[in-house]
Amino acid sequence: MINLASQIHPVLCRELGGILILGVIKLALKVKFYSLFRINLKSAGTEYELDNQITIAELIKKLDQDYDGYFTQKLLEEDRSISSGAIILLNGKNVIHLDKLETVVSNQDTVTLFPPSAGG
Amino acid sequence: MRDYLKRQQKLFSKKQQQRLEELKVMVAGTGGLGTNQALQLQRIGIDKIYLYDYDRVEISNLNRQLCYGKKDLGRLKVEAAAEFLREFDLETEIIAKNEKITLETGVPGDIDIIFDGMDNFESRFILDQLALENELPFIHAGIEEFFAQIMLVLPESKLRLKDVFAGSEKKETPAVFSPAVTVTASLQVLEALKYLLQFDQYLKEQLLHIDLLSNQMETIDLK
Repeated sequence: MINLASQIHPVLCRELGGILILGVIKLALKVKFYSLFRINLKSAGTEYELDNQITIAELIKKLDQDYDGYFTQKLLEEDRSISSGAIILLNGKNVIHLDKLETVVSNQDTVTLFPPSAGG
Repeated sequence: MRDYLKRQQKLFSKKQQQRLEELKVMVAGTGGLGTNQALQLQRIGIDKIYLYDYDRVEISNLNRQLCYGKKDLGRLKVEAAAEFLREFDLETEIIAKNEKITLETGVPGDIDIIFDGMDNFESRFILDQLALENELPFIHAGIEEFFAQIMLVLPESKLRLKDVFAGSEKKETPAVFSPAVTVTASLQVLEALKYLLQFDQYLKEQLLHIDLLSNQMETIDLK
């Protein structure tokens, strides 16, 4: 193992005294909060290691469990459509242009949530 | 170089300074963002500013729209703003256009960029469409309370404003006040300049999110 490690990254191996430390890359869905969401929740976001892909609607339920129902209130209208006071981006794309609340997300995706600033 | 620009000489190459002094822009909306943009653009010595608005000055404008005072109440915004800016007697040409921006608006043929000075997303989507049809760069900003976002949309951009902000059209009147509006408009001018003067770093397929309450600025990748 030490010889193999030296071949892979001799400098790093010397620094670590010849011991190779193997890290596990965690696959997870990243959810980022901005603006008032971040301030209200005192959190910049969260991560979920998913067994299977889920929809945005299911993600909101998961978030609600962790943040005391906050996201249904902020992201959805009473008729369960996406609120005009919230942007939901999946890897930078507004889910309104995808499958809205039925848009599927999985590990390695990034969901960005923020209230848009409309004034001027 | 214009004599009053000496203190910014070291910031730019000769080519950049020359380009700066040749820039012509459209400020679409002379409200909070637009009046602040115009003040900054005039101070840095660009060639020409077209001011677009169709409204008159109201009392509720005076908490953030820096070209107007109580004496201007009831006046056409573009006329009052143009008069205010011209009184500084700097070289930038100020052109007042008392027009509502629609999909039929004829954008001036000599401009380099369109500045978003609107206060709602319906108007911004129209402006973005005009920018696309005229193959012009468009710099968006929106401000609400202590939060803002800025996005540079280029003729070749894959994502237009609507791709990111669809669904944001209907909202009650946002809370806005002068310090946050001024910071946002200044950043909007800076970001536009970084692109127009060909600095290496500008907003490429990114949204700049500004949180003035927590002093955080972050870019959100849009690709």
